[in-house]
Amino acid sequence: MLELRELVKHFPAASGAPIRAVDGVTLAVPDGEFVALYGPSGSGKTTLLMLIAALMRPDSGSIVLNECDISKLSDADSARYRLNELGFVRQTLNLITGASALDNAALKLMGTDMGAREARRRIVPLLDRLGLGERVSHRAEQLSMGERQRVMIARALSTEPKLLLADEPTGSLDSMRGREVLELLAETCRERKVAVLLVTHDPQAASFADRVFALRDGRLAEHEPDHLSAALKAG
Amino acid sequence: MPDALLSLDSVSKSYWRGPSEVRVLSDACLELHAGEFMGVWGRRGAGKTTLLRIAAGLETPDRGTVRFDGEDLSLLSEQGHARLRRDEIGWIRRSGPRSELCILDYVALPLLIEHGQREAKRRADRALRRVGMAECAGQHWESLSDGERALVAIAHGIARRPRLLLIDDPTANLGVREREEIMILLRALVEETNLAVLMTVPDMPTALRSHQLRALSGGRLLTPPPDGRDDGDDGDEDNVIDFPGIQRSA
Repeated sequence: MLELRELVKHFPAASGAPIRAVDGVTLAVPDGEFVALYGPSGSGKTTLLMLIAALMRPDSGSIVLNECDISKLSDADSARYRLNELGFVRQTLNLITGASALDNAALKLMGTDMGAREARRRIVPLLDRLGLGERVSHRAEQLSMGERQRVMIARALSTEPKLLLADEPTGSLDSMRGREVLELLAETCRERKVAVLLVTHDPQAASFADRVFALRDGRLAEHEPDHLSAALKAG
Repeated sequence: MPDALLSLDSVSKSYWRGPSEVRVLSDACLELHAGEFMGVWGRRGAGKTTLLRIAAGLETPDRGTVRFDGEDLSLLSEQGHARLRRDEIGWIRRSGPRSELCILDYVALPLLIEHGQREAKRRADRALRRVGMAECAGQHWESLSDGERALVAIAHGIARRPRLLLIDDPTANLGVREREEIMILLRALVEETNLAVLMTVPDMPTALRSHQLRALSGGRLLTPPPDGRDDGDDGDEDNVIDFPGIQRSA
């Protein structure tokens, strides 16, 4: 389970009061739950993700993943945490041109103490499960955008993380491919009992989650279904 | 003079934008040799990125021939293309992909396919040292300035020791001094390692450290006349500048 407790992160502003990017956020995401954080640009979504990924430290509050306080990790332990405990799926794809889907997906495993051969062997079932079984030997540049994102999801899941962070993962995709990726994230969450935290400005994407929280000016509020429906209708 | 490492011969490429066909490249020709640094300047939308993608074999021209080390890219097998992009050509995009990995791991990532973890990190460390970013190895992308990110992107591009580096202007967000430092670094890399660099540049002054400058305009890649004289080719007076005193590789 991921628990955020009164998390605060402020940034100095050129003039006047500091920017309260994350302002007292409290949230619990159990294993196997898919939670969406929905909010406009500037609402604090990215800052919150950076804090959870231990890429920056909070000013106060705590971030606890399965009883380990992430906010107090050393730089070395933070790097280990990101490698082993965390999966990260982003809008921008970090695929290696010229390398196969198999090798691209296995890269994170290759970065652990596991050898390349074992890494490749381990990743095949996951690629198959993600619908890429027939494409494992295709080069990154031969894959569609949706397939590339699925390779990145495979890479993110390869180390069997406890938490999957998804930062606008469908931003580069058309609506049909985006829907496929979000359905995949929801299935992954249920099957693997992974906590999934999706950050998005798109109400359609947020609607795939079990729970939706609105983030505005650094503060969280659980989204009432009516509000989300209204947001969806508003487009 | 040895054969060109990269050559484009009468390359043309068009795209459809709505109902209109836009000619992005029109009979583009260039030759780039090992140890040469070529800058390509053009306005936004002129086709600079398309040029780089065609040079990398990521896009196929409508007409013309692209050769790498004498091999016609259109005749390469898929494995050949993969080998080319994996082993011979490095690519630096304008904005490096954000990554949650520390800098060392990010630079080492593509090396893991061919090397074990230790060797991959050793090579990544060497690349970071070369660009002056070894001290940032444990930091992450979010904590770097734009200039530092550009340097890390270069380290990422050279870590696999490619023979050709294609660079889609990582200096666009940088100040004049930082751009100059990047260009000095690239020029030094070219001269130390016989690397060939084809780089899109945001403006003419940035390109002064390159050996050659091409201007991409109206789909045309402007080239100098073979004997240095302006022979009024197609009545075109906006010709390429070969900077005096800068020797091409032998």
